[in-house]
Amino acid sequence: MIIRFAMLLFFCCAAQASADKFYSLTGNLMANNQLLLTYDIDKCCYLYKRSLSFNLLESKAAISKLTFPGAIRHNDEFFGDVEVYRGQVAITLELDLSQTEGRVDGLKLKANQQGCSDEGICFLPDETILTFSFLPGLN
Amino acid sequence: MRNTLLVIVILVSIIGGILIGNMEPKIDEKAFKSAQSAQFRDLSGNWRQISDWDGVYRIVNFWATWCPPCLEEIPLFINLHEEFSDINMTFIGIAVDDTARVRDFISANGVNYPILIGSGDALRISEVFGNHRSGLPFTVFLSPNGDLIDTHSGVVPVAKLRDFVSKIR
Repeated sequence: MIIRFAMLLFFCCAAQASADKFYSLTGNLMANNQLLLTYDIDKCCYLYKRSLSFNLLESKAAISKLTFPGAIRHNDEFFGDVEVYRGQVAITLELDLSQTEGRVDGLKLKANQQGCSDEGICFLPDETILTFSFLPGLN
Repeated sequence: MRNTLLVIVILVSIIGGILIGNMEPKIDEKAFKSAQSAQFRDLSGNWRQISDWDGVYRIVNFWATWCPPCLEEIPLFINLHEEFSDINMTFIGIAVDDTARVRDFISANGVNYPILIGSGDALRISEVFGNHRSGLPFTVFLSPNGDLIDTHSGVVPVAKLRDFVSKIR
């Protein structure tokens, strides 16, 4: 027990933000052909709201509506007042599936994002691809 | 006795974790030298490399227009480049960015030192120089023969820049 606790402390203290680690993105299917996209952002860091964009790849489906939660005002010396997200951010994406037929297999969503750490280090704009398969209207 | 042991284990874990977390991995010397020959376009479209400035102390700054802290420190680089134009030293900016955006920023802000442009490859080169967190800004201080003097992740403190320059003078 003590050893496990010590190892946890060791790895917590050894962790530093880097581009690969400072956030994660997951997607869940909701009712009415909605996707719930959730960013979990490390305490050290933030994502710029304006850097977030979402596109469907090679699909007859389309994004009909995106709903962002309220963001935090952040003052950048060069960019002035900008909006950022910290902690957990849930974004709702509504799909227009009127052009699809039957089950949707391997729907690929490309998410773009970019952020910085409070220490004044920014990470390269990054993209994540999430894949979904579902039967429209049944989730 | 058990409590004392627990406290010792916790302290050792925290201190060890912090030390390991802040420890810089060793730089691969061979890759380090070849990184100085990596080719980047300048704003005129010519291929350039860091070793083109061999024989001169170099402050090589990896930056981007999408990185606010990067833009924050560039006016200081411009001033120091002008102030110390009489010594054997140059700033070199390597933008991890799109050429058009870099060109706009350079002309709007009067950047007076060489700017090279790369994309993800430039970031990989910065990693060879020790940018283990793959973030920007990242600054490398090189001697005239290309030896690594120092690196800095984040905005470089003015005192550090002035200290470097004063040692050259």
